[in-house]
Amino acid sequence: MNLIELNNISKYFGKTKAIDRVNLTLAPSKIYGLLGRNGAGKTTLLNIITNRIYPDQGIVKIEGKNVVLNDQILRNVFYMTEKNLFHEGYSLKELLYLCKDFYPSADLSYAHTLAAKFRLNLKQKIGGLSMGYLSIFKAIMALCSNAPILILDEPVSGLDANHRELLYKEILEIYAAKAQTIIISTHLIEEIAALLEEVIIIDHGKLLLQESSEMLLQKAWIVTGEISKVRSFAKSMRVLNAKTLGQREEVLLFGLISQKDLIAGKNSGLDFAMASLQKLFIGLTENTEVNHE
Amino acid sequence: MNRVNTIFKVLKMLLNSWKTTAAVYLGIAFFVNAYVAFSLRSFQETGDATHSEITIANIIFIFILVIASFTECFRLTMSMNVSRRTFFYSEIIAIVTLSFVLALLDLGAGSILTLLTGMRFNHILHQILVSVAGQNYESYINEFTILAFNTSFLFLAATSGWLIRMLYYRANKLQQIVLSFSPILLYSLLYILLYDSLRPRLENYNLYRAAIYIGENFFRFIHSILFDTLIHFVFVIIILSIFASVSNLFLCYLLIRRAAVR
Repeated sequence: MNLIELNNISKYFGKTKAIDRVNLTLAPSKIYGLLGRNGAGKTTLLNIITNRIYPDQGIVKIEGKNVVLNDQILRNVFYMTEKNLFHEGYSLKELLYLCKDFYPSADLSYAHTLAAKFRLNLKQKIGGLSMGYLSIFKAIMALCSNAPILILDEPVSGLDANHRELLYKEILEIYAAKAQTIIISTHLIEEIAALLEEVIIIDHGKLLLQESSEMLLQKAWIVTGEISKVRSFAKSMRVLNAKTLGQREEVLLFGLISQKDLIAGKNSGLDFAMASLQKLFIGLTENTEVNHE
Repeated sequence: MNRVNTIFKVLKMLLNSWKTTAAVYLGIAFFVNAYVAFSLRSFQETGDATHSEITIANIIFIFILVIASFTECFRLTMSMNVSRRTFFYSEIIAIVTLSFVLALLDLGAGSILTLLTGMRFNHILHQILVSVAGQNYESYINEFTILAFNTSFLFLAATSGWLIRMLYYRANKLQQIVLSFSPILLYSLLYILLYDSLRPRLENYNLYRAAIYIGENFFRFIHSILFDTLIHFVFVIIILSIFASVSNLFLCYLLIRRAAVR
């Protein structure tokens, strides 16, 4: 069963088309990565899913029900926004109690444990937090909310490497324990790649692809070798980018390569390496596609 | 968690966010009242005194409170993933509650002042009735009528504040500038249209006197054409005020329904 369905969603801001006829279905109990360049439409899409803004076209359903003004459905979603929506005068403790009010299954003792791990003093006012600690606090709220669907928009914004590692670990632990559906939107693809079960890439408001990260990585190859051999091998494949250095060329291929072709390629002197998610993302979104046919 | 439950949770949150501001305001109002009582006792004043200043202060307070607190409350509610419709209902209940509490405190303050000074303090409704029908209004109003009248006017002030805030919230920069200048434009338009009848009141550009003059005439007009008894007049005024508030709320709903979280 699909948990979240987006049917033909479009959204304009003035004359700019922020989201362009996006169709998407998300299954329960998976970690999704929503990836896209700056201004690709990630936050707009998340805002539409959570009914923070209205699409100009299309419908969003969660558990088969329209999300528009639907409290029953919205109660199942915790949306950690990149932007701070809390007034500066609130203390962190007050906000956690507020979270408990609206998400009755929220686990405040877990929130306190997380705060201690991140060395966050909950007696502080939200206005006194640095950018990193503000992100940490919002992430703590999201993780302790126990909502079946967690949407995290740039959760590691402003966090140092140690805190980022800790947060990824906590996300994985909570996912292992509760099997929530988690959607993470981020720019730090390399770091988050290991967490993701499925990847959604949008560019210029359009859905480029939605695929399991395992399958995606099986399709992303960096092939290096003599120019003529590389081009001959890549002839019938999608070449996302190519770099030539003297007589040698390196191409980023996107597509499944059969075992037979792989062996043949290796025998002809080509080197094959699996590309990282980040490399693939850059290749898919940078418009450097090459036609070697 | 059903909707009624969520409405009450948002209501609790709204009242919580207003409590400090309301406490400061009520504290000041209490000291002003105490000072008035102390002064009147010291000078051994007798006879009637007006109590409309507190009502007007309450009206201004609730008007500004709703305007000032909207964005903070709206964003906080949205951060908890509550629908705009639920926020709308909760805000209405919060406004009605605060209007009633302020009207009740207003009435109580008048009674306490009477107790302390032995003087009678006339509420704003008394003054309106004096201006509409002279002194013969005693049998038409009681504490309940004053409470209902004040609550309805506070509710109207609050919903008007909310509507203005919603208009600003939804407006783009240019529309916001137009909205900011609209009172001046309205005043100029009134000045031109009602020049002859308002001239005595508009000397020295006294807007307050002109507004009182327009208000008085509005009440007299209703009194003369609708019903010719004061008790009907009072209820018609209350109903008209509720009707105007409901119209404001209807417009607020249209504006908030698709308001983006900014």
